[in-house]
Amino acid sequence: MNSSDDRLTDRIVESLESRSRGMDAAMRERLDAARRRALEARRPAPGRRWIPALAVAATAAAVALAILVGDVDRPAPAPMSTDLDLLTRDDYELFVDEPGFYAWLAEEPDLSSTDQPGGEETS
Amino acid sequence: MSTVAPAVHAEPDASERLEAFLERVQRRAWTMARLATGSEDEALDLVQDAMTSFVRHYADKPAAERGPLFYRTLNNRIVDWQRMRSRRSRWNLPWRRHDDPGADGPDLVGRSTEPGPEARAGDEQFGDALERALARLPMRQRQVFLLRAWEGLDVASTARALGVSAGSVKTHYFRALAALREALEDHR
Repeated sequence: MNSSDDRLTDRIVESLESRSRGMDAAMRERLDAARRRALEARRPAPGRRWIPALAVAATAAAVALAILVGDVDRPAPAPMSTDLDLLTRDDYELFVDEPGFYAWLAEEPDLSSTDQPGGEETS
Repeated sequence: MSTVAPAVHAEPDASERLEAFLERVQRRAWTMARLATGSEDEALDLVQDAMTSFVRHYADKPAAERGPLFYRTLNNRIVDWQRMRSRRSRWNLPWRRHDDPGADGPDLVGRSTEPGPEARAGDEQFGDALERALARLPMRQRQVFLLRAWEGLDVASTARALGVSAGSVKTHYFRALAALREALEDHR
């Protein structure tokens, strides 16, 4: 860019700046008001300031309640120690080797039906 | 670029508050929008929309990024406005067009055609001719020229603000300056 263009650019900027600063007072006030309204968009309304905190608190309360209620309704799991005790008993092999046990098992309808695939009862 | 110290500050201080930033750019933004729309009220609406959107989306951005982001927001508003106006004018019936106050293009300088005191007459005439010349420029050329020369953005920031390449910024600036040079030849 040559110096002639520099001078032209300077004069253009000077003119634009001068006219812009000389803007009438009414328009300047309207622009100021527009700026203030825009900045209001950043600040939440007074009544809304608590909304995020309330939302977090409500969510936390709901989660806590769900955990508590879930604990009450859920059936207690069978204690593992019962099975372990059974398996580790000294006389456990008696069940396996005792033929009478299987005969008894076959005669018990409730128990034998659950051993079948699908677990459906037969009459 | 100019060897004379620019009248504007391209790089805002990092600690510049958001409100101070908007206060600094609002007059220039309004002038740019007015040159694009030919209407003071439309320009005010566009600047208001741009400021609101900018505050909502970019308020927490670093000060150095605010200029390009704000002018990008404003430029989008101006482009939307022009598209809407273009669609509307397509549906304007021929016998109604003369009722449209903006149908003959922006009347940006009609209110100040009377020459003032002799000392100011040259500046007034230059300013009027400048506004007419700027209004006649293609929008992209005008935006590039105003952002580069007046707002003081560098090529990269101008490119970001307008969503174009750096090469495109240089081309548009060169063409805008050539057109202004020719249009203002009699006033220099």
